[in-house]
Amino acid sequence: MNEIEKIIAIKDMADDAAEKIAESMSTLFGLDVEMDISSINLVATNSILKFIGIPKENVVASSFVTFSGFLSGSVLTILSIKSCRELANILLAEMEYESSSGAILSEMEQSSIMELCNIITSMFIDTWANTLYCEVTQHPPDFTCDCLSAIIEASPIDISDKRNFAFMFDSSISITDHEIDLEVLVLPDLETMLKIFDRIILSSLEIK
Amino acid sequence: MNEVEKLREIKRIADTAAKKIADSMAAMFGRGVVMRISAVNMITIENIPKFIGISKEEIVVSSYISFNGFLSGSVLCVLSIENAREIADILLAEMGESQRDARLILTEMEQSSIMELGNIITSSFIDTWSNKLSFEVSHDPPTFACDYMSEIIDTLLENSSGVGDFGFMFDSLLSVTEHDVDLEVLVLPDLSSMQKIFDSVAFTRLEASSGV
Repeated sequence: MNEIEKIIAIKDMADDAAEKIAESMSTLFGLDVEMDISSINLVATNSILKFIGIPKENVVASSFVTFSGFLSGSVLTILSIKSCRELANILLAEMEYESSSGAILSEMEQSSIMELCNIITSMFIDTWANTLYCEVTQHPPDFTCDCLSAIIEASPIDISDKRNFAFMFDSSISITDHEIDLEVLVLPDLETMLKIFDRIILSSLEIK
Repeated sequence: MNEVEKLREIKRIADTAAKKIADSMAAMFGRGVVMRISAVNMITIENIPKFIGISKEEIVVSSYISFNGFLSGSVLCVLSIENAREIADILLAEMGESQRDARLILTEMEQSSIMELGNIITSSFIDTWSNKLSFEVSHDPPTFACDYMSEIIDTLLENSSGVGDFGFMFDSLLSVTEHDVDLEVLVLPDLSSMQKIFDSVAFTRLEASSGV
């Protein structure tokens, strides 16, 4: 399997995760949900802030999960506040809840988005661990609603790191005809990145 | 050589190109020029406008070259209008450029200096890559455009039937007389050329370490 085939196989693995995320969300919220990963990008860690495309002083919602074991690293899901409100409005459509007067997101909005982000991050890790036949321990997700720069600063991600790379998946969630964009970043540590490239071959063997 | 090392080697080739570009610019414009590549990224083509941080409706300045031979694809260099003006101002500082015509996005002299810069960047990239990877590559003359971001990408994709799904994006910084200007250089090979690059970079380091 060459480099391009490996990258495409890693994208396929993210597509599998997206399918599972959509199924879980459909069950949890009782709505038709689809998740689409439009592209995979292998980005240098020091380019992440730029590529997310949201000014670093803007407040965003994010869920950050670290994982350890055979694979170690973290998964970061990022949603703009506009996307959060839009999503929360749909998810909570049939419930009476207080709108976010004053606060960036109301308590119920925050809780529904937190649930959603947590599903995304944990499904990504589960799917990757299963596809790559390895055991991975997930640590509790950390949901934050803050400036993008503050979120990155509080995480163990070293955005000045010129030597490491992350997988960035441009994604969108379609719920009841609304399409909402989000970013999912998988940040394996260097050793894990190499293990992913080595073991992704197993996923294609299984298909054959 | 593993995938990460290969990407780092690709970045090193770009660093060599950046040095040549700075030398050529310094000679041409008689100024101290430094070009730095801060990162290499392997991106999906459709993400180019988003990652450059310029919306599809914005007007930008670009220079691109199509190349053919053992490798085929394109090299694209993109600058925002603001950065293009800034760099033209510096390059033309002693030429007494007449007052700006408000109707023009870039004056003729600004356009010509930026065109020269774009040409140096794209052709130096091609030359360095073909030298380092020991491939013969022929390339067309560079095409300069000042147009909407979406038009530039569409034209590039139409004209370069060889462009594949992925490209290398090099975040770059040009320092001319202590002014820093951001620009992006994209190397967009077709899929089989992309793989040939990955296959060949392993040897560039072997050559370097054996002193060849």
